[in-house]
Amino acid sequence: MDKIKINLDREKLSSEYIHSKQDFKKITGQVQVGNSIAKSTWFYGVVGLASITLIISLTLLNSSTTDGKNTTLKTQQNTIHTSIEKVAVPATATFSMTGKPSSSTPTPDKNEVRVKQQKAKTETTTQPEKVIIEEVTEQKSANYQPLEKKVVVEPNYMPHVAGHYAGDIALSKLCGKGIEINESVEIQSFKLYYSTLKGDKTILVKSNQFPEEVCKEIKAFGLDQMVFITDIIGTDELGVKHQYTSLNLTTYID
Amino acid sequence: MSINPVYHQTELKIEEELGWIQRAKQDPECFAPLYRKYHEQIFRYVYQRMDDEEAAFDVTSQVFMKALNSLNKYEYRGVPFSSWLYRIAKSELYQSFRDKKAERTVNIDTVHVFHVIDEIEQDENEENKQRLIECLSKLKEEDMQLIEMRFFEKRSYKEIGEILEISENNAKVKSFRALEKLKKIFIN
Repeated sequence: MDKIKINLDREKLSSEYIHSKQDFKKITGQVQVGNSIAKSTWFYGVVGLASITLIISLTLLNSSTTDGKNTTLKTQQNTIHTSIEKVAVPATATFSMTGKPSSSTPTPDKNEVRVKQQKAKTETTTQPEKVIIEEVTEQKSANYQPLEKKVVVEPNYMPHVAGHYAGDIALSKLCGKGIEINESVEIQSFKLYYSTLKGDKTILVKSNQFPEEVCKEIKAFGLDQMVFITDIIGTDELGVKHQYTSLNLTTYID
Repeated sequence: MSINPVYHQTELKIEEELGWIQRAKQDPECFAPLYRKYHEQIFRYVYQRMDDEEAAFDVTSQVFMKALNSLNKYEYRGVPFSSWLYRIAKSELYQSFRDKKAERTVNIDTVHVFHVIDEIEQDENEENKQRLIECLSKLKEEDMQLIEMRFFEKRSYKEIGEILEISENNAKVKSFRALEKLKKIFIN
């Protein structure tokens, strides 16, 4: 779509003016034509006849052997005479299937690709935005060819809480160690946006830990709720301040 | 002030609406109460996003014509009938933009601009006001519509969710992210 045009302080239209522009007849005008056709007897007659013919055709196709019969079907509008003849079908029908069914489980690739992260394995969830992928080679057989490419893994600079970068997290974990990045970064502060029984709140926390009062409020709120963690400021090993990516987590009471 | 004070309705009102809808399915003339009830709302939604008043009235008429023609497909889901109308309105709007019959516009008041400036934690001054307006025009459509519905039209997350067919929580998340993007554009 093209660039959006912005109008500032445009004159407002009054409710009376808008009401004066109502035209219900214009709306129903188009609809009435369609309805009048649908309501005619002629229309229902044609539809009924077509439906009955279809039913009879399907019955004839599905039956394997039938006796010759003359049947009379009566409808509201029409009387239809049908003649059912014997349909010859082979006494035995054989079917053959070729090929093996495809495997339900996909076969793994020879070279397994894993995403390597700074911390130990996490329970869940979505991958961090920027990840260096290391191709891991495993000697599975004598014919196995190792990969030529090797990529060096760099420290992960994605903030997380107990290994959670996004998705669901138990409240006990949220209120445990707090926000971490990697060993060289120390979190100084962050902003937290969350809902309480009294409404939404945004607070500035000057540490990496979630305050106890906040944890109590989240627990009292009860429902699975999303917390937004933004403006994460940390200092690296040289003492330089950086701002890190925001994250949002959905808490559940464990 | 919210653009849409009548969106949230009691169960009684919703049931009354359901009665109108059932009757309108048999007789289009019975659609009149629904048309009168929602005409202004839908027009304001459409006109908020367009520059031309007459084109906005035309699109509004198209919305109700389409709604009446498709009324047999409407399924009651415990939410106001208006949420279905808004979805049709959105579709008609974007069709008119694609057909080049109308230009996508955002209409805002100065007071709303300052609200957004406050949300992104910047100083409320004339310079920032102009800067924010410029930044708004750089937003993608999906982010703009969230900012528009939440901060200019003052719709609740529930309403936004129903119009966009997403959950209330998701509407909250998406609105938050749209604001973050706007803030990033503003700062950079």
